[in-house]
Amino acid sequence: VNSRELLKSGFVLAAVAGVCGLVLGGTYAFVKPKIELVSDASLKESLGEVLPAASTGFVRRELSGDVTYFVGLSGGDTVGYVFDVKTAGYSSTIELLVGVDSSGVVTGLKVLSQQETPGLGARIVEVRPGGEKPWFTSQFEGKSGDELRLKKDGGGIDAITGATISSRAVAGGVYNAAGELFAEAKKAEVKA
Amino acid sequence: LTEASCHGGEVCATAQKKPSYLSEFTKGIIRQNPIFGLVLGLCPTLAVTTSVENGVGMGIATIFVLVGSCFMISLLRKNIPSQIRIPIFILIIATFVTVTDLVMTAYTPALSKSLGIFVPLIVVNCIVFGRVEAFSSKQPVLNSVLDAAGMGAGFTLALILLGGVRELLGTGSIVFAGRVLLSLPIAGASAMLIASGAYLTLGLVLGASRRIGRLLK
Repeated sequence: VNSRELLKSGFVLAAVAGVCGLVLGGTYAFVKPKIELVSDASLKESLGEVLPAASTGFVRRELSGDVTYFVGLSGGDTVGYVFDVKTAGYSSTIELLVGVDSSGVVTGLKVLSQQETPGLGARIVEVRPGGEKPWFTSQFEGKSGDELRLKKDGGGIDAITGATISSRAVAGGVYNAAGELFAEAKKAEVKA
Repeated sequence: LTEASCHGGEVCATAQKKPSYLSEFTKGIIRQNPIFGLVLGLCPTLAVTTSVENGVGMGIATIFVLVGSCFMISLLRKNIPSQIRIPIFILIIATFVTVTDLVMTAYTPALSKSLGIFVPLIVVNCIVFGRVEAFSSKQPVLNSVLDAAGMGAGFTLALILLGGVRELLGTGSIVFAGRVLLSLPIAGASAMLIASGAYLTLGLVLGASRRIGRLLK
């Protein structure tokens, strides 16, 4: 390969890469507002799923330590909270939405994102055939306090076989949301 | 990938003459069907064929990437130095895939969620790379586009067929765009929807298609 050919190759590659970059940038700029709209709508839907009692809507709030939560309203009353919790799983950070009613009982749980091991930890989002919701996360509904721990930790939640770390991470996240974060959110409400 | 010079396999010996535009398109649908003939692109095939809807979505996304990439590469084929053709092919294919992925995320979020990682993974789909390397980097633009469209259509039809079998046996009915197209009087066997069902269906349908092909000869 002589240096002229080399230069030509480099130039062609750079030109193609440049054009591809421009096309990608343009497409991204064009669809970004639409993608944001879609993800907003899906957040609203997820919030409704984990706290169905909030018929009027949700107000976004923050707690100390970068925790985002949503106050669920029905008419003018607060009917509960939805906490956006991140918890360390086995191979990823698991992001959860935890709905808690005003007495501290979990009303719903949804896994927003996770990259756990397929076939093991990723079964936290597994839907059994014939079922509508993931069976693991549905177990938390209607429970509160110490019941939100795994059975082997003295609570009422069945762990996923072979995925204790992922199961415990989810349970820990929900326990924290319905306990500490719930208390903090209530305190913030009283003050306000 | 030696078929490139003579447009593929068995026709090689008999047809050394220039193939018609029509056969350039139709060869990908039956004779050289990417899945049943060439047996390429099996990863996404096994993974997304849980329903007819997924098959259609994946098929359309792949057709777009395939036709776009083959068009661009055929257009640029005389200006691409052969020692850097691979990175250039990948750049062009990856650009089309990323554009497809972004557009699907924005406009068909449900489909994009159900296809998940397999849309970005079209980048490494052997069908796209195979057609680019074996065909469109050496053929005129019109032939390349027809070849790509035919291959894409063949891939899509194969996905729909496999998805249909698995959805029908797995859930007991075929639902497309919210409407029930076909339903069985029995409950579905969920094993058809997981990996084992994918292998079983692909193996049986592939075997049947070979058998039919031999009978027709």
